Amino acid sequence: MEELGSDRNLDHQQTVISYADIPLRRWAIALSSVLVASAVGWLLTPSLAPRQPAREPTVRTPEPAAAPRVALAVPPAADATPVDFTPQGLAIRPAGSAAVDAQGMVPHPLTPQHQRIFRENILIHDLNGAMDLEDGAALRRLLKQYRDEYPEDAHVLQDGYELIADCLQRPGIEARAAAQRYYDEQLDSGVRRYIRRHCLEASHP
Amino acid sequence: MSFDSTLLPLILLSCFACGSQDGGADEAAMGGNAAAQAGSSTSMPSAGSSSPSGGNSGAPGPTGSSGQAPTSGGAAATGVAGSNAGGGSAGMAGSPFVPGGSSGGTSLPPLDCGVEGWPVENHGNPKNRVNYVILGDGYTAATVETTLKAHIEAAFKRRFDHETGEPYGRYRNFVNICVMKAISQSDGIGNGPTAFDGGNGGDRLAQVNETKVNAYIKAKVPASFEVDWKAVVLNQNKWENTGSYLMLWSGAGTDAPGAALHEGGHGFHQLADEYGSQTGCQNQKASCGSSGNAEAEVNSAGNCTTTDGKWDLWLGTTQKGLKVPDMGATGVQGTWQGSRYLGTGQYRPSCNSMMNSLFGLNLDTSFNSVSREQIIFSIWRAVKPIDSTEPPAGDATNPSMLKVNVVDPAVINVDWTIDGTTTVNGGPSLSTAALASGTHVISAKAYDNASTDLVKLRTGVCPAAVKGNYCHASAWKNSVQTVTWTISKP
Repeated sequence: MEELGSDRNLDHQQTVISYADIPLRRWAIALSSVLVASAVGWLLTPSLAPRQPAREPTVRTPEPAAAPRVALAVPPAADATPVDFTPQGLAIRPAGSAAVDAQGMVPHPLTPQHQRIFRENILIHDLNGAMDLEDGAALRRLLKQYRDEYPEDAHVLQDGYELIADCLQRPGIEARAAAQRYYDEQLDSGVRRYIRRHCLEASHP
Repeated sequence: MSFDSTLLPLILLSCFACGSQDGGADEAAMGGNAAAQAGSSTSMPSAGSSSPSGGNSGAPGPTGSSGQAPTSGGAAATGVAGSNAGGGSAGMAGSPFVPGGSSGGTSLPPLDCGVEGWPVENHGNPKNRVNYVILGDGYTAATVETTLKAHIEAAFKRRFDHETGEPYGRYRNFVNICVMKAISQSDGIGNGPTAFDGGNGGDRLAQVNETKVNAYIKAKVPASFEVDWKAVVLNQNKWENTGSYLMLWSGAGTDAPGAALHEGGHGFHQLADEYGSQTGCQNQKASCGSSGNAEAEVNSAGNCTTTDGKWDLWLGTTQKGLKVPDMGATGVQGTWQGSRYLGTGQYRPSCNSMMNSLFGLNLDTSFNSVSREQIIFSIWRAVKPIDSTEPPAGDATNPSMLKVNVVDPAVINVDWTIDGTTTVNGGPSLSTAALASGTHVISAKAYDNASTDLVKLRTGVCPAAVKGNYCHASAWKNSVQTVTWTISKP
């Protein structure tokens, strides 16, 4: 079980929004979501009041970040309370919410970092589709895009896709030798199987 | 209006109670594989006991049938006897996760995961399996044997034993899994140095040092294990997970097994998040409104009439569960407004799903039909139905038996054609005892017996509407494989 810092700062970052900053309506929306999920709506009959600039009272005070950690079996309930909201006012699941009932909460905000991750997933999706169809030209076109947008290529996929395109379009001793080197050396690559299939075992001349 | 914050603990407490009820209801859904096991035995009758009719040379019969292809979502295919010898107790409510270890009822060579590797799922030669490697981060020499094991078992119990983990249960024999017991100096993320520097990536994302991860895989994972799918499980109970190519999930916490499934949906199957301006179902009805962009992910569409050619075949169908008994899954497949973080202009295939609201154990948080189909296609990209044949395909002189060793006889049927006469679903082997003297051409066609409740797009061709963006459907062509012998009998 993860130990919870006594600073209650579960994601180790500065709190983005303090409770004192949360408009009343966001509170109401968040709590309404929780209520729906719990089927105990009778406990509370919130009216989603028009957004007001009024602020909720602060219910916790940030403590020094450097405070020593204290092991807790279960995070206190307060840390399961959303402090971030989507632009639509939906509660975003708190980072330290292992024990929370998150029904109705958005799992995460949509940030440029998320979009970058999903964009890369899509590129890989398309590259795999082009590879399945043995469409070397499309592989190269998508690969250029992939290289331009993700030059870091942490998983050495780009060189692998390029070699597969080579094997599809320009099969021969050179392409095969390069593919064999890649297969032997890039043991962490997720395209080794397809290097084997399209380059090392293919019946190309 | 002001809200009395003292009510909050009470409300949350009541929510936990709801969760318990959900879990209780779903315990029943987790059971039932025993029925499938009993009902789908692959034991073979005696050789040649059933001859195909119309054989032109006194044709012998296949040595037994594994039964007709299931008509409903492969209900008979999950946990079939012999298919998961190590996982025989799968589906028993409350039972612990049991690693899978023997494909097709035969003993397998050990799966080489390296010195630090734990072969959790060994189903055959890595050259013809999806190979999934999971690295632990934030586990010490002591806790790799305890906490890591617990986190993995929790994740895989959900993956294989519960409806929300399907279709991984049905295709269990298609995926090998190595868990790497990388040792960290500190126990838990955030408590000091760890093997892969795991921690908070901001905005509910987990992060690790990818360079260290890949260097570790290079050094520790055997070359024979062609890695298809990479993940790191972090020893923390925070809500921090990442659906990138290198998938990350926080291993502790009640929703961690769901997170592992959801993030795999992103990272390995390239599925989109299906929530828009709200999550879950919220009693929403299927609808058709304004149109938006046709995005690449198969489970989100901008056009609710055509689904951008993605799931028009599924419209109006009701998803069947794969566990026995079938208790359903995500319900009616249609177009629900709100997906991919947009409240309008994007549609999802089901009201709720694993890619929408993964929380809890509700059946409607299963992968919907569109996602399941995509997952199956992804698996077939890497795997082919036949591991080997006996004797090798080609010319053979007077073999007494022909055999195709398939990945999983419960999932893969074999049709035998002897000199032009075909026996459908004849089992994995064929006796040649009754063949007349002479030369015979015999072929075995092995194929996924998934019903149309599980896979509808069977052409292997991407729908015209998504041409240019490509799709996973083209991998379906790998699900059919034919081998041919020319045998001579004296």
